[in-house]
Amino acid sequence: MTDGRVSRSFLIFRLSKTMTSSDLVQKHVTVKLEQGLHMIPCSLIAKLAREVECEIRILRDDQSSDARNVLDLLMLKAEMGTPLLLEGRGNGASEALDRLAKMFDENFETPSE
Amino acid sequence: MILKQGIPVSPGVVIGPAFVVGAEDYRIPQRFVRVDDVQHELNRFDAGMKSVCEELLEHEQVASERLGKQYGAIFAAHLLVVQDPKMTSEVIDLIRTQCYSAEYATTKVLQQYARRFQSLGDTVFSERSADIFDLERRMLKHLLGEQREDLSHLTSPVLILANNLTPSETANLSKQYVLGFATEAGGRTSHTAILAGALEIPAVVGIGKFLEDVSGGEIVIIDGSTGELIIDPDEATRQRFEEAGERYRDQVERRKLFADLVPETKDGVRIQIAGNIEFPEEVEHCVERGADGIGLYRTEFLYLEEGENPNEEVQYRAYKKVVELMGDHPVVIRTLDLGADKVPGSLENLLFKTENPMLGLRSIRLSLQNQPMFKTQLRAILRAALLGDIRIMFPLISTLRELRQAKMILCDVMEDLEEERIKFRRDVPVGMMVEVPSAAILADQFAREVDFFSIGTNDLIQYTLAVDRADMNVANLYNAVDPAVLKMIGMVIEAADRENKPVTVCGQMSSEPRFLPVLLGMGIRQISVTPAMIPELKQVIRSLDMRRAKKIAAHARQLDFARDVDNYLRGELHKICPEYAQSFEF
Repeated sequence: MTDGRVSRSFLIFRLSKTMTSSDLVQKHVTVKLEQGLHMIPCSLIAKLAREVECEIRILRDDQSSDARNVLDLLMLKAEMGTPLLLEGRGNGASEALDRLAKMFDENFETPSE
Repeated sequence: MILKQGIPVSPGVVIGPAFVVGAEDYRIPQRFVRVDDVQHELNRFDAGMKSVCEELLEHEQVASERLGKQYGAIFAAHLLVVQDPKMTSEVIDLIRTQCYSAEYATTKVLQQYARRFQSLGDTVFSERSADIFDLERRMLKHLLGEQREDLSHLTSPVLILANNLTPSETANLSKQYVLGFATEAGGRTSHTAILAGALEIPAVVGIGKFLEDVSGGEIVIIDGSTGELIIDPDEATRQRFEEAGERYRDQVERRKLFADLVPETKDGVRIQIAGNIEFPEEVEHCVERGADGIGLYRTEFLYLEEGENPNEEVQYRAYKKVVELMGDHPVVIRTLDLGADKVPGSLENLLFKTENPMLGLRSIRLSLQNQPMFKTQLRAILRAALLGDIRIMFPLISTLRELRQAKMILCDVMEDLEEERIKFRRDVPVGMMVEVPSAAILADQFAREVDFFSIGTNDLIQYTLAVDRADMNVANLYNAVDPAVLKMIGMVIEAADRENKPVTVCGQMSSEPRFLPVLLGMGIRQISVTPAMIPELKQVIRSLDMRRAKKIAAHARQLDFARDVDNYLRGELHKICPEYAQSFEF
């Protein structure tokens, strides 16, 4: 399944549930929230992940979580300053990761009414 | 037969079948189902999930509206967890391949997650296990169908037994079928006590654990005068209580005869006795007993009965009903006093796990932070004020700034109504509750800026003595006639006197006959009480003269210990009114 995009060149091989090298998109982010990646940001990530077509995973060291699963994301125990790797595969993966990375960057603040 | 002892909070004796309100720990009826029933279980799980999602969506809306988006977000987060495809497939798998019941499968899966969180050690992430447990409870609640709002579907007379009863649970209860209450938790001024007083049915609270010892349908006796709960009474006991019940009913009938009597002391001093109400329906109880007005109309129940913020029309109709029934007698409407123990159950769990909800966002503070809601209430009150003698009262005022802010908003509302050409009354008297010690200490300043004071002794006592009225461990420290409390009350009366402003005492203290002489002796001329107590209090007033009351007050204030004051007052009441000293031990 190709979407015509060039995949990033660095491929990190992981043991458990990972994506294969083809059409894999990746992005590095850092958690800037004081409380770490707690319930509400995890649920916002899951909301986005469920909206999009592509598969998204978030990795920390050896741990890999399905971004659609709030509890799995929480289990990453990503405290402030933790570097995470976002992985996307499938249709629209690049845009999805961009949106996600933006959320991390803006500390998951939703625009106020 | 099992005998339990608790705190008597509403007098009377009643015997009948128990209705046990579901406890916090939902007991799972069965763990496994027959292979034939697996599809049924899957359907039940599906239906249960839909129901949980609906409820969470609703909570999210309500929470966002009332308290802000960040509170709503917690429910949105829970919703996403519940909708997690992995979690639901794990539960479905257990049901399908292992014949687990829907409840057991749910519990297993969620508890597994909870354990994984707890193993994360002492971090903010391990606390997520609390969220898991909350979700587990919620899902079980929907699967088991034991909605705590069950009380609105009663079909025959029962005695309600529960761990505790919150206002939102009892808001819709079928009043005609409830004979009495008995709860494991709670104190003298808990919601259960107030509600039982309003309905004039027996209630006992603070009994401690007993729900495991009773089953739904079992015959129980509640004695709200002595604080006894008897489960499955033997024949002899049943006889004794049926007789006691009859005697009590006779007493109640006798007191109705006092309705027309004027509450005047022997030396001609007229005392105003008004009634405290929650529901418009209770106004009749006040009128029947010859009350001089409504001294406290607690408006919270409007908010809890509606399930969402009641709109202006709903409120207007309620206020209209009350004021029309009272004719030209004054009706004091207290603005929303919601918060702390009165917030609907699920919000309370997630939001008010603050250390000190009593000191937090509640009452006037909530109103000032939620102006649209506050203005709606004020509009309804101002419009209804055209129909009678309505007065507005702000609760929990702790600083002059708060008072001025509230008054300013009232002015804004008046301007709005004028611009919209909606008729209302401008010269509505505006007063405040004195229940925070800071208000009592600076009563001089406050007296200049209000039309009247109303001393809310329930909270004033709690804040002054730093005692939680619902905590059984320290309940005995809560004492209306503690010297510090009497001094506070004295300060308020003096300050009001200097500015020529009237003071009413509207807390439960004023409903208690033995405290009446000391209050009157200190200068109180207006009280607002539980309607049921009006006849008795009239009787006490008519047996008193002010010289005696002043002497009693002077002596009481000299004593060092609350206990001594209390005993002294009991003794004095016995001398003044021998027939009333025995009943209604407080």
